Amino acid sequence: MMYLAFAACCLLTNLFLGTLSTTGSAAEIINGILLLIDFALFVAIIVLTVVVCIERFYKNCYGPEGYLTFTLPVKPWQILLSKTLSSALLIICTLAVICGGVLLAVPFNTWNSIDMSDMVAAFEQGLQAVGAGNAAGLALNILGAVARNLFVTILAIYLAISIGQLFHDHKVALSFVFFFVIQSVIGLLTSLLFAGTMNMSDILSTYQQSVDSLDSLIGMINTFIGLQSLWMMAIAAAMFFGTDYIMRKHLNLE
Amino acid sequence: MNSTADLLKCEDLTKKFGKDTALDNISFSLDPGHIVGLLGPNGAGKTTLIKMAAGLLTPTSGAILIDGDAPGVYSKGIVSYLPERTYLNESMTPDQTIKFFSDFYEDFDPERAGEMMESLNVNRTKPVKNLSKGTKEKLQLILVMSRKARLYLLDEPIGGVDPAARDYILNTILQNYEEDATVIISTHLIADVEQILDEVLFLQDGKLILQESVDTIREERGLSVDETFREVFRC
Repeated sequence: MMYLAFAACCLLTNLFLGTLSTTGSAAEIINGILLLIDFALFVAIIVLTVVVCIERFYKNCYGPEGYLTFTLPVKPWQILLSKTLSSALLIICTLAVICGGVLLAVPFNTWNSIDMSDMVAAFEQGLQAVGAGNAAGLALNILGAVARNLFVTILAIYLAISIGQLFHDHKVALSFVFFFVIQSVIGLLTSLLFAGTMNMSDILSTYQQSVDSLDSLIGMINTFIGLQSLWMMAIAAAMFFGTDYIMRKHLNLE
Repeated sequence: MNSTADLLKCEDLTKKFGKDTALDNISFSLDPGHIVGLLGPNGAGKTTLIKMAAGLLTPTSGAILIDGDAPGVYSKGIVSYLPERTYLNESMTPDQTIKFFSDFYEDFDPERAGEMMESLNVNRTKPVKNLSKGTKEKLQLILVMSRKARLYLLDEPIGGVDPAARDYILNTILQNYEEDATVIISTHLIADVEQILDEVLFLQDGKLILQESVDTIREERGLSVDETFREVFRC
């Protein structure tokens, strides 16, 4: 429903921006209001998605539905994997809707004025300069980085909720506390681990000072993102098995 | 299937919640093919024991074994558990819950579930959230009893339904459980279930104070289970 509201509002913005934007202050006010509503819906969709992910996991696993979930003849890691994938899918759908909404909000006549052949040519030039292999590697690395961050965040939420349910009282409040504790620990460990090796500003300054090859820059960026990805995957695995351990050994559905 | 004769076995089982002891070092075993009443006053540990057998709580110490195995994938495949609360996804319809149970439980009989829903006038197309409390309880009981399980754990199965429906539910339990299966019924309504019980377990303050067959109680004490309960738990 929220997706539809967002899409409808983006479409209205498109129509107003495309037809009325240049005529009078009333139209400008309407445009302003529409953009404000677009932004509010944009924020609401993101918040709602996060809330749904948390609520579904909590209700399905540690709420009343947990009585059914944990009496199904399946292993806890299978339950956890299904919840993680469904949350990831929901977030990806939300991101797709947001991207689609933003594109939809751009007036049709603006699209018509864009010369696509120029864009394609610029893209091809960029691709030639970077090299197709490098570009593909970089794109995959960036995509992987987005995916790993997505899974790390979801699993941090699940682990925090699972730790929270170990307590007799204040389970929800403690889940929030443990989420921030987990995030802080991950941030601290990541800083410590990568402080001694390299960071993105080092890469850029090295490039500016001595390296004039784009290949080297992309190679260094790929190495940096790759190392961080491996580290984050290790964290994700630790959180996954930690949650699985709690579900197996310390389930506490009072 | 394991070769052990004990379908449910507790060995020095203890469960603590913080400083509170819900189950205190209890040991007993149950053979297949009985209907067992798990009886005791509020807070005696009945629900805790059932939840541990269902795998929803882990023991603080001791062990609970289902057909020789600790609660896990195998035990959940042979145990059919009815909690005292609604555990179904409220947005599902009864028809969808039948599909859900069919997908997960190999021993689930969807035709039997459909027939029972018709008999109990459960609307199969309304979301669970729109059903009355009593109908939700009937629906859950239907789903649980439509499995050909080896151990049924029924926590207060007749607590929330009207007296007319109680008889139907008890008949449903009697007619649908497999002969070599064991049914454990936790309830306060002893007089209502007494007629179908073979054996009773009395719990008090987390301790097992009596495990006896109903026939022995009647023959040796000359009392009904209800009368024995009142005598044992007299305030």
